[in-house]
Amino acid sequence: MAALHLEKVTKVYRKGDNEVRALDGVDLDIEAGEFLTVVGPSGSGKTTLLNILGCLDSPTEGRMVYDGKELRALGERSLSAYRRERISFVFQSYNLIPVLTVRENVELPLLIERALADGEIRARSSEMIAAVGLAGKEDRYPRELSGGQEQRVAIARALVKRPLVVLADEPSANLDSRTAEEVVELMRSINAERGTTFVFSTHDRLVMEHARRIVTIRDGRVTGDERK
Amino acid sequence: MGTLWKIAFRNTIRHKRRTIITAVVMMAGISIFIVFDSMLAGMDRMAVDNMSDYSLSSLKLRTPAYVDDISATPLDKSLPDPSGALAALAAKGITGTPRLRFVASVSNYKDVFPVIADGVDPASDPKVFKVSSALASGSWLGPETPKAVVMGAVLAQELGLKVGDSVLVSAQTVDDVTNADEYLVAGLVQTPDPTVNEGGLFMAIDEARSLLSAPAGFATEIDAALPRAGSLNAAIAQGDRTAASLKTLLPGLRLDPIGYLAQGYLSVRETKSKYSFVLILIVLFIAGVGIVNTILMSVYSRIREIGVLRAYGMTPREISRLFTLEGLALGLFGSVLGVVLGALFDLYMVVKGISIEAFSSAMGSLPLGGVIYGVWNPGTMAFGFLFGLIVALVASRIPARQAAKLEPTSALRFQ
Repeated sequence: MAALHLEKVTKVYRKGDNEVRALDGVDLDIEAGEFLTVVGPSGSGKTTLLNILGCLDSPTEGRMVYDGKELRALGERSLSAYRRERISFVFQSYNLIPVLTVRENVELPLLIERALADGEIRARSSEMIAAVGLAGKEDRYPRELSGGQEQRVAIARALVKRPLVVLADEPSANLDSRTAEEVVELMRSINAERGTTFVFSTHDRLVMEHARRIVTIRDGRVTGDERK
Repeated sequence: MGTLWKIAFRNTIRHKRRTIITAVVMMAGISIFIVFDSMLAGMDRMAVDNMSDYSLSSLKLRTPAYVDDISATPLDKSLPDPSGALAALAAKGITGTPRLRFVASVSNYKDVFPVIADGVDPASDPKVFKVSSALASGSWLGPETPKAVVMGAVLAQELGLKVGDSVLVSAQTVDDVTNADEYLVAGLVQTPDPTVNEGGLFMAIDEARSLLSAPAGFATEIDAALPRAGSLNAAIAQGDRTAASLKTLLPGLRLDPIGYLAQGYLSVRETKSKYSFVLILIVLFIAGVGIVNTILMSVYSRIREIGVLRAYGMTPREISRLFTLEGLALGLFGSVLGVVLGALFDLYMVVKGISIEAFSSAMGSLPLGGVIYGVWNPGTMAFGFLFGLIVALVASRIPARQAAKLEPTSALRFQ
C-alpha cells in the first residue's frame, strides 16, 4: 500500500445554513519519496487537502491510511501525536518562533516529540542546519536572517525529525525568484538524497517544473494526476 | 517543560514595555503590602509598649472582686497584702510597684475635672513605668516635693495650670466620706499615651493614702515590669507565661498580663490586619487584570505561532501551559521586584523608623507618638511573594485557555 492513502475523502464546512463541500470524494495515493505538487485555482480545495494530509483537520467522510495505519477514527489527541511523530510543515510565511535561535527553532519538533536524548537532538539539528547551508548561523534569531534564510531554517525544522511527509503550503510565495529557486532546489536535492516525501500546494510555475507528479484539484475533486 | 519555559521567559523579555508595566503594578502591590504590614506591626508594638510603659504595665495584680467592679474603682476591694505580693514577685526576680487608683476631682478653684488619680511609689514606680521620664516641665514626685502632684500636660492646659501652681484634689475616702486637699503642681508629663496626658494625675502613694484615709501599705494594684521581648507576640506570650507561673504563688489574686490588659486595642489590630489584606487584594486584583490583558495581547499577537506549535504536535494542554508559564514568569518578575523593594523600604523603617510627630493629633486616642519602627517579618514577604505568583497563575489561566482552544487550521490562517 502507498505511504499515504486517501479514499473517498470528503470535507464539508457549514456556515450557517450554507454547506461548502471543500473536498468531494478525493482518492489519492502518495508513495514514499514522491515530490508532488497540488495545483488548482484559489478556493479549489488545495489547502483543505493539505490540512487533511497533515492531520490538522479531519475529513467529514472517507478513509485515510498512513503508513498502514487507519487515521479516520483517531481523536484530536492521537492526531496531535501522529503529527508530532510523522508529519512536518513548511509555511508560506516561514512561521519561525521569533524568540528562539536558528538551532532552537530547528530543534523544536524534537523537543516537542521528546523521543531523543539531548546529544542526539543536537547532532540532528547540526546536521540539518549544515544541510540547508546555514552552518555558523546557529545562534542567530529569525529577525537577523533574510527571507530565504528563514525558509531554509523552516525546511531544516521540517526535516529534523525525519518525517513520513513534509507538507509545504506555497513555500516560495514570499521569496524572490532567485531565492525561491534556491529553496526549491534545496528541497528537491533533499528529496533525492534522503527520499523524504514532499507534497506542495502552489501556484508557482518553478515548483511545478521541479515536481515529478502534479495533482490538479478543482471544486474539491481531483481532475488531473500527471506523472513526469 | 524546558522549551516551554524558554519560550515563555523570552517572550516576557521580548515585550519589555508591557512586561514592565505589569511587573510594576505587581511590584507596587506587594511592596505596599510589605511596608504597610511592617508599619502596622510597628504601630501595634509601639502602642502596646506605650500602654505597658505609661498606663497598664506588663502584668497587673488585683483582687478578682476589684476587676469585676473595675468601672467603680472600688477602694473596698483593694489588695489584702500588697507587701507580701511584692515580696513574692521579688523572689521571682520580677520588679513590682504598688499603685492606689481612685476617682478624684481636680480643680483650679474655678473649674473642676473628674480624673482617675494614681497614688504611686516615687522610688519604685519608675522601675515599672516611664511616666517619670516623660516630664515636659517640672520634676517627678519625691521627698523634696511634699504634697505635690504630677499631671498630664493636656489636663494642666485645660485647667490653665503650670508647674508651681496649686490645685485642689477631692475624693471619696475609704470610709465613703468626701475629703479634699491642696497640692502643688510639681511636674507636667507629655507621654505617647494620650490617656495619661489628658487625665493623668499622680501623687505619692502615702499622700494618696492620707487623702483617702487609707491605712499604711494600702494599694489597689501591683504593677510589674517584664523584660522587653523581641516581638509583640513574644511580649504577649511572655506575659501569659509569667502570669501562669505566678498563679500558685499568689492565691486569691488576679494576674492580668498585657495580652489581657490591652485586649481592646489588640482586637482592633486584627481588623487592621484584615484591612491590610483587603488592600493587597485590591492592588493585586488590578495587577491580575493587567496580567490577563498582557497575556491576552501575547496570545493574539502569536496566533500563527500557536498554529505552528499545534501543527508540530503540541497538545492544547501544552499550549495552555506555555501561556500559563508566561503569566508565571511575569508574576515572578513582579513578585521578586515587589519583595525586594518592600524589603528595602522595610529595612529603612526597621533601622531608621518614621516620625509620626506631625500626625500625632490625627492619632486620636491611640497610644502612639515619636518614631514608629517597622517590624521585619519574613513571613509577610514570603506571603506577598507567593500571593503574587498565585494571582499571576490564576490571571493567566483565562488567556491560556483561549490559546488552547484555537484550532490549528484557523490559527495558521490568521493574518
